[in-house]
Amino acid sequence: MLNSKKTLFSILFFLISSTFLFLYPSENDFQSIKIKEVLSIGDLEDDKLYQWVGVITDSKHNIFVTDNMDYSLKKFDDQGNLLKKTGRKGEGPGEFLAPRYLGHSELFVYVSDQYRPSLQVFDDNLNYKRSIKIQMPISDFKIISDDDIAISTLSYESIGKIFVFNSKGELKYELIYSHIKAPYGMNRVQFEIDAQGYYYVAYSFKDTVAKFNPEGKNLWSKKILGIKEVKREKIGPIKLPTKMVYKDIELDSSGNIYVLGGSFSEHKSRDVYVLNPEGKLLTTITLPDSSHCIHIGRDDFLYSRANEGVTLKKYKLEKIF
Amino acid sequence: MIKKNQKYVKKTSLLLIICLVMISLSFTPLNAGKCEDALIKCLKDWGIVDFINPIGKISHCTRGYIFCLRYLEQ
Repeated sequence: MLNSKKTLFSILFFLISSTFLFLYPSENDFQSIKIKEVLSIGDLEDDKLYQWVGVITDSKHNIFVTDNMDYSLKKFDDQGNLLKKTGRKGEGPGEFLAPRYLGHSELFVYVSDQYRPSLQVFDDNLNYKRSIKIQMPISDFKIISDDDIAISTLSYESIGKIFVFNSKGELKYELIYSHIKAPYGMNRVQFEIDAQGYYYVAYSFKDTVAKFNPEGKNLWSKKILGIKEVKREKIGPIKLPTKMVYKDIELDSSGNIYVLGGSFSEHKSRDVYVLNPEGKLLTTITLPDSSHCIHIGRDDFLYSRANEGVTLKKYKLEKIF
Repeated sequence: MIKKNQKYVKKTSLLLIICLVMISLSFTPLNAGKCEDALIKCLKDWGIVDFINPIGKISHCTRGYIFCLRYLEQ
């Protein structure tokens, strides 16, 4: 008799508490986000930017950008004034063939190159310091520290892994995000790592965003768009996907996740899906212009592309609770 | 003798890969997008170095293709 009372009480307690949780979401959850443009660098009339690719910011709000057209790395202040530019076409130190994405530590700026198997390291004033040889094509990378550099790659018939290298380019450990062997490119991800070592992946050719703990346990996986499968087409001798699902993933200072949608989104390459740390979709931001990437600085400003790469926009995120 | 045979097999397989690439390039869909066009152009454009390392050439072209898919809106 006593036991059944206890059970009944537990069930009631569970039902009431879960109803409350459902009705009253976490206090950090907001309903929507308004974006307000606060800075625009480069336009069709000036030559500040030609076709920028990577963007990163430092603690002083300086903005570092790679430019594909003039093979350069550029540094702007928080007002958009060009402070310094370095690089030219070539394979020597401080030169680029196709400068791509950027990482930043307290001391250095890291630059990847599509056609060079290395990361080039510059100081804050864009002086070339050294190169770190990485013997794999770099899809995305994050600087956890100067001695922990996480890299995702394009692989053929391989399981999904993020490789963490030391400052000498030696493999330290691997973070697995998929145990399924996938055809070329299908396991490609953009990723983020937070201060606690949790990692987040957004697949380029699969409708999946996922979070893992530092031990590699999948905490949640989410399909935001409800796409069953991304078809691959035969292009010449190779079968490849022709549309991207997600183009980028970023975190804000509260741990919310921002995922830039690609060709399957309602507004192609403009919709940014905002998820809370538990993977609940909070809202969608629609950028005024299509972008290949987004960056959220330490001050929670969002940076994205406009004018097909001639312009870099900075937006203030105004959360509405 | 074995070494000579191995060399022959390697050379033949490289030639076969190149032939297959060239043949399949002529069966490309007509409705291809900008990135597909660029990929095909890249695969058709063979230099001397690419004949030595065809896999490297294909990898080079597909990396460009994936970047194109990300950068351009298709």
